[in-house]
Amino acid sequence: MTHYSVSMNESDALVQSQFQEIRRGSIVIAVLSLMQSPQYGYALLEELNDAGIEVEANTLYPLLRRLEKQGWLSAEWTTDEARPRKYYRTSDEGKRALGLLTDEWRMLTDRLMRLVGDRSET
Amino acid sequence: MTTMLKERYIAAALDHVPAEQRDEVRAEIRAAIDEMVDQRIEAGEPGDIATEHVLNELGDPAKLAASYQDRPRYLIGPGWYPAYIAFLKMILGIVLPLIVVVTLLVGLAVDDKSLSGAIGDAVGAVFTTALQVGFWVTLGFAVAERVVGPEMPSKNEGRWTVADLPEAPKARQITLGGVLPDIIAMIVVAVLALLQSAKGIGIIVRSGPESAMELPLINPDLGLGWQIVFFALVALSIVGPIARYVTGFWTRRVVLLELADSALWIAYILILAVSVPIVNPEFAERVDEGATWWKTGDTANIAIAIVVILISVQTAWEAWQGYREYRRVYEGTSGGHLTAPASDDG
Repeated sequence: MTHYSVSMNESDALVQSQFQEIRRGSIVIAVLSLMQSPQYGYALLEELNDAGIEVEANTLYPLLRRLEKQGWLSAEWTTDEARPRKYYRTSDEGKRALGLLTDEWRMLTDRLMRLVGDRSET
Repeated sequence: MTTMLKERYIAAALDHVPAEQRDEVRAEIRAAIDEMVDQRIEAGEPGDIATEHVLNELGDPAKLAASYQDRPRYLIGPGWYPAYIAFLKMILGIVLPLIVVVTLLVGLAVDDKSLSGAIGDAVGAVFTTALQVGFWVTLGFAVAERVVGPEMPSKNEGRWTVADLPEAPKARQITLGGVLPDIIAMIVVAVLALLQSAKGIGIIVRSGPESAMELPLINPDLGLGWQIVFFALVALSIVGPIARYVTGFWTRRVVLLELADSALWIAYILILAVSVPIVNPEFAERVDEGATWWKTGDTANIAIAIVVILISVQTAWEAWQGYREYRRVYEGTSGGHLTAPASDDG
């Protein structure tokens, strides 16, 4: 068996980047779920962070635009306030996607937990 | 001050956005910054400090701009890269040797340059050509990736199957069709040379509208020793392809034989060039008289030397390529499904 020696810092960095990979997909689910009522970007960011889902502004804003472009969010600029603000809400298509993604996430978690649980017992 | 920072940030980000998306991305980024700044001001931060914080939080404007786009941020992605490298190698492998030969020939024959001058030209030409080829091939692939998509079209609509495997290696590398022209050409040369030395048959030269006479092509003063070496080389050049065909592969022995054959021919023609002209001087004179664009005083001899050297270099190159293919594909695959030759180098 090959033993790779990785320094503590390096190994931490690897774990961090793996965390990011796991989180990447979860944010879409969180966003689609929270956007069932119209929200603007920053309010969503705060709500996410309050819910313990950490996401940076420079990740969230481009993500909102991407979801809008692929039709999962609908967006509207409001001009009645002092500054133009963009309000998003989950579209019907987005709701359908949310259902499917949530099912997939749940299934994956169940399977993974069963697998991890089996391992830790033996 | 704060507006300036904000506007500078937006401008820096938009630098990396294609013109047609700029208005849209500008509105997005501006709204995002405003939202974030407002929030901080509401929480009691002074405006300019809030702006600074927000911009630091958003980070590198180039990266932010990039994440707003769906364009790839690389020139050639993994889907196209292998084909790109293979194509580049193939094109350079064909074009660069060709450029060397053409520049040398044109430099020496047409422009009357010295050998060192011609070699300098060739080196320069190789450099510029490699740059040009590299640039245009890269551009072509980068454009193709953006037009066609990140995956190269394949025979089976994307999914790899065994049908995409390269052709199985052939049972033999060297075919009869590949060696027969070489053998026939050398036999023709041998027969012509034999007739020439036996009967003095030459080429019909018209010196006027009425009179025609026969001139031996090869210098009658070429000593017996030179002639014997000549026929020995011709024999070697017939034995080579036969040995190659019998072996069936570019094994090391076959390749060494071809390389030796090429080297001996080049040596022979170069030594002749500085000692005895191979072409009948009388005939060479006629050639020079007839030559319209290339009068060197010794056109016929130089032409023959160039042809011999080119053929030899080409043969050596082919042998080397064959050897590389042999090493890559056939060697070490003894037995099994491949009809591999018994390795001849131990």
